[in-house]
Amino acid sequence: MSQPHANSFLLCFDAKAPHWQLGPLPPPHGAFALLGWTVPAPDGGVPPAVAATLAEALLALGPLACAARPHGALRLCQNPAEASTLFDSPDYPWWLQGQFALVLAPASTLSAWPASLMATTWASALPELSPVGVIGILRPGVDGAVAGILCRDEALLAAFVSSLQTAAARTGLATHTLDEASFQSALASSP
Amino acid sequence: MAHFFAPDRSSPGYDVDGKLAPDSVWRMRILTKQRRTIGLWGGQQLTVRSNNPNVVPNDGFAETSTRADGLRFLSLLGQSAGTALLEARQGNSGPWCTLQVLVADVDLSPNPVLPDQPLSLPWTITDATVPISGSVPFAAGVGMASVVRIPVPGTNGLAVELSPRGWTPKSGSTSTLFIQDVTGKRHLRLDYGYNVKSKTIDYHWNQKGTANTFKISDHTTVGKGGAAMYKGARYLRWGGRVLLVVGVAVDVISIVQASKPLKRATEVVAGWAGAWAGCKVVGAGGAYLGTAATPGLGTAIGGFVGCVIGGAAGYYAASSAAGVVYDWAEDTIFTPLPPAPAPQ
Repeated sequence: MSQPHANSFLLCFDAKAPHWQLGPLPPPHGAFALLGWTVPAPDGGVPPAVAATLAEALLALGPLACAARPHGALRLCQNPAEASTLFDSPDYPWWLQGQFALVLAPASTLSAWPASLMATTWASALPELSPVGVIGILRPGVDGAVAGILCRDEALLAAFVSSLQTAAARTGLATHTLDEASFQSALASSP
Repeated sequence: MAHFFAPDRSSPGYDVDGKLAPDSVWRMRILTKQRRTIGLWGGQQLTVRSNNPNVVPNDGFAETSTRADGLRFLSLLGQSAGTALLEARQGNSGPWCTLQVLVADVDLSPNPVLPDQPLSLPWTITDATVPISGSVPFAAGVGMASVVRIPVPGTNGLAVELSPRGWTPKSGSTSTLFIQDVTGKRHLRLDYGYNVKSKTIDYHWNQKGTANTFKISDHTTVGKGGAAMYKGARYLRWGGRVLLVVGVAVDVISIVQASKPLKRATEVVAGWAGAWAGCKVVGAGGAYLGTAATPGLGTAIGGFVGCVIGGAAGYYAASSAAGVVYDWAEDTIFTPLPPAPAPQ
């Protein structure tokens, strides 16, 4: 039986279920989308193609910063190769929801990350961080198998979706926008 | 004629003069603070009193027999060192018979008094005096299992653990069992929560980089055995740490209270080192066998069981060996050799 959503990125703009472990949805601020993928990952984790594509799509919005040692420090990523390692960092494991990616405005003055980014109230960090140039947050959901992307506004989220589609197409991956139930089913039927 | 006599005809401490009867006693000795019994024959109606209550108090003498058979047994307390006269009389008449009672701290006479009571004080077991016994080796085994990385042979550095590697949110991990490398990057972990494959909340494996080793793919749902293992791992993590703290505390107390603290400290340190080594070695063997039987769950069960057994045995063996070595070293005397002239 063919899998209509195989080898795809999945986007869901109406996710509400708490089992995604992304806190109360939708977040009270900004524009939010739930991200998933159906790319085979026989050895678990975020497949390299997904990591590279996500990194490229996020970098199209601005440089990225992710959690790094010592605790509280940030690692700045300005190219896809650097950025894709945030999905594979043992110090701040994506798979244990111990990682994030902050999309920075060019003139960002961010120097450290607040603890709330790692809590279920992570979305509330966006209005706090906006003054220092944070325009978006990517955070892992349940088991690191999905992610939430929160942008400061709809326009930025639309720009992210567009860059994701472009980057995905370059690596041979499709992009689908689904409602929450279809999103769940597509993930469940992925190889 | 009434007379005093030694009970059970024992003579030590009783001086028999045979004047009133063949077995009549004229004097007896009592060690201070002890009681001795004297028999009175033919004195059913007589009143018996000590003339020196400071030495032998008139405390009723704890009579133990009825007077119907004509025999009375009186228990005299040697209150303090000195001499008292025990008089048996009827009414205000003169004494029918008397007994001199000599109370002394030590009886150095040729036929010294033998204490009626056992020489040792009776044990009164209370919470404070109850002998301490326990199973620190068991605590060491379980405690070690909760904190030690139990290696899994043939997996290129994977080990069984109860905590994740890397930073985790304050809410903690939803996984309780981890078979992971030292960074946590390669891992197989037993998780509870929403499963994107089964679309339900269940117990399942999550893995990264271990599929070839254990043949378990990401998000594989586990059955009742896995659920039991998930809960057991959680209990072991916290219960084992409690036992570890208790075991260490008991050992520290044992060092403080020991008559040879240095020896005891040597035993304790060696014991814990042995527990660690035993846990690692036997646990690795158990994990290897468990992997062969049931990769994943068997690995963990084998590892933990082996660790507990090896930890307890290692503690016991190393602690005992350290005690023997300490005694050997302590009893060893090095005699300096006399100086000898250098060979020509």
